[in-house]
Amino acid sequence: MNLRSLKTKIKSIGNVGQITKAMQLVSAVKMKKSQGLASQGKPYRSTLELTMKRIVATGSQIEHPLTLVKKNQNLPKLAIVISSNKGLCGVFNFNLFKFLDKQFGAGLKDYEFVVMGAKAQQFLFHYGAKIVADFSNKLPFENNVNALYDLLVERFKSDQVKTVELYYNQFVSSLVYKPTKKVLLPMDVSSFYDQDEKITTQDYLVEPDPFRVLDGLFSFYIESTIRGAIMESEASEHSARMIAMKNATDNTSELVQRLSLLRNSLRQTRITNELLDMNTAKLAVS
Amino acid sequence: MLNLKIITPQKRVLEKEVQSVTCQTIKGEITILPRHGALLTLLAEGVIRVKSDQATEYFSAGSGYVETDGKVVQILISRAAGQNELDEKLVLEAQNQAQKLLAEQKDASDRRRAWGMLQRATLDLKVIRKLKRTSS
Repeated sequence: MNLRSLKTKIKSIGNVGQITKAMQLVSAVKMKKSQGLASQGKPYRSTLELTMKRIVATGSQIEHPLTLVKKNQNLPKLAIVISSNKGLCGVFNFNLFKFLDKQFGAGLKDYEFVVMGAKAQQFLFHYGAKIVADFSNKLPFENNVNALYDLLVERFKSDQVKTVELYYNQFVSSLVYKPTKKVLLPMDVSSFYDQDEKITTQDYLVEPDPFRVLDGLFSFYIESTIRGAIMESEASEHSARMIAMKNATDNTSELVQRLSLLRNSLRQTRITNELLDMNTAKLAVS
Repeated sequence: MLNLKIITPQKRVLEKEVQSVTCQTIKGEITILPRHGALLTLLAEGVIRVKSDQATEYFSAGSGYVETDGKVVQILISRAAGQNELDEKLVLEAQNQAQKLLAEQKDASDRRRAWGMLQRATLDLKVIRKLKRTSS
């Protein structure tokens, strides 16, 4: 490799390094932001959960279409997959896909898919899965929650699907995320029974009637679960991108260093050769 | 005085001591005053009017619920007003998108080939990267 091309190469690698560094910083900020959003939504979730617990504790009749386990085995299951729209985020999407592959395997025919995220759509499309709805184009994903809920409840209530499951990357910490599966429907009310009996049951006046109120509460609860999943997925995406970009930046600086050494030795060779030339010329003349 | 909390999925909108809260429920308009009986009911689309010592404030709500025990009022708003029509459109668009995908979808063997290609491409890429790393 000659000196000139080496120089341009070092320069271009340095430029790439600058870009990846910038992307890393941007992702770090975005991750902080989505974490902040998630924590701001916390009062809503905890209040809702408390109300659900109170309602369940009053022991009112909780026979609701959304809690019914379907007997018909032949119905397909509905899986919601949340991924990212963009790449350059390391193994973020691939981990999820591997997880999906392990989950579905041969039983892919039993599933129908709702995707959120262009990457999941591409993957499942090639995978041969049946995609019934694609919400990738509507940004931010959070705005799709209510529409998504309407879609899946309609399918569930009209006996078109047996269960509804949610697949997404769960945010564990700013360096760790893991693919997770959550069952949305049928709803498992037993999780709301309070073991510690700390909930004070009140004599509620529930208007207009418990059934309709439960209907509303369930919808709010499921929506908030989906919303939470979307937020976690987004935070994980940014964290994954941050890590990927950090690795890329590290790689470029390593490469630049190695190439610089090569450049220096090449330059030194040239100088030595020139000196040798001069010396031999001098010797020949004298 | 009533301790009022208005909470949306995004954030806590309001938390303060107020004198009365008037809101639309699915059975009609109600006003909650201090020492109101324990109540849990669903909100309908409409305006929430909050009266405190200094001023009256207004909020718009889509759906949600209100819960009170006479001392504390919690209003959870889960959908903004006028969102239902919007959602129907969203669902339709999403399903259309999937339909379009399905139309593009060739038969199974084609798909398998595409998938195989993708896998090989990523494998190739990995090998190239490894080679590069060891050679440079």
